[in-house]
Amino acid sequence: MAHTAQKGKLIAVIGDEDTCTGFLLGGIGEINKKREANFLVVNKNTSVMEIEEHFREFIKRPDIAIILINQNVAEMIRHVIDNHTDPIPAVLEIPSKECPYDASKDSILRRAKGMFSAEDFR
Amino acid sequence: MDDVCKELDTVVLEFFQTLTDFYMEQEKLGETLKSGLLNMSRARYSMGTQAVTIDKCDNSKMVAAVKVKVSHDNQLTSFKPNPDLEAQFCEINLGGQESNFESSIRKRTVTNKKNVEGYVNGSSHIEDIELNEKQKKSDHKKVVDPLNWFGVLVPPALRQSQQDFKKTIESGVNVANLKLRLQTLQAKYETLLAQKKDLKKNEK
Repeated sequence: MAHTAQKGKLIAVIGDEDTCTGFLLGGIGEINKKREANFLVVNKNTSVMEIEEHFREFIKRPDIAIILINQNVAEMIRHVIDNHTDPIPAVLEIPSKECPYDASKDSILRRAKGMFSAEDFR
Repeated sequence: MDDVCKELDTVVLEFFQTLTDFYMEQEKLGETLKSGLLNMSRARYSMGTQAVTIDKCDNSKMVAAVKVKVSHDNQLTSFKPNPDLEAQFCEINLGGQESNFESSIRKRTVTNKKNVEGYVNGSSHIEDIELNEKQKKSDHKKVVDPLNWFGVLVPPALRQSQQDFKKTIESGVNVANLKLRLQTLQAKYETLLAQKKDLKKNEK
């Protein structure tokens, strides 16, 4: 545990090729000794099952602190993201080249929206 | 009851302030990401479409240049890992042993050559020490600049794209912190609300 804390944690990315290339250019990419990468390139051939599997793997990995995911990809595995309520790793939905960011689709903001009801303010 | 209500108000106000900050930071992230992608396209225009792809990323030596520290209260801060510290961890690994082994073999041959020359020059020992220090320094540089994957002389657009993505990573860490703060406030709000409802019931 102390070893991981000293070394720091990683940022993982799930997204289209350009998003992944950009973030790897930014310096977040790492392949560990088990040859596990901290990124997944989603293209037209990537199945939803594959995305879901990788997302679950990233959640389980203790060396990952943030998961960046394109919002259009997040839409495909919304049920899995909604079930993830732990603070770490934090899941961030980011825009992609094709789709702009829509706050109303974001899991956390949707949860926050349901927080307030008219009853509570009486 | 009044105390709970006051605290609820404070939490709600803080929640909305955090939400505003979140929207602003998310917008900033979107802007830098857009700029990064645009500059990457510009770099492709000058280098060729196949020059900037994921296949060019060197999978064999990929080490993160940016990492995140997690504090006890789940506060995230990004930092550049210290190559010396990383090298210390690498020395424990098998990979580190292999590289040391290789360097010792190289050193032995170099030493032999230098010894032969040293008899003539009389300066082999000093050169050996300098060589060892240089080798140690080169072993410690484990983090490679990702720009080098795409060539030595890359266009300025690609450099700018890298800067934009670095800013996006910073914004991403800030957004993650704000999201965690929102989650904490939400939990606090729900607890206080439950408390308020209990107090109301008791009053009736």
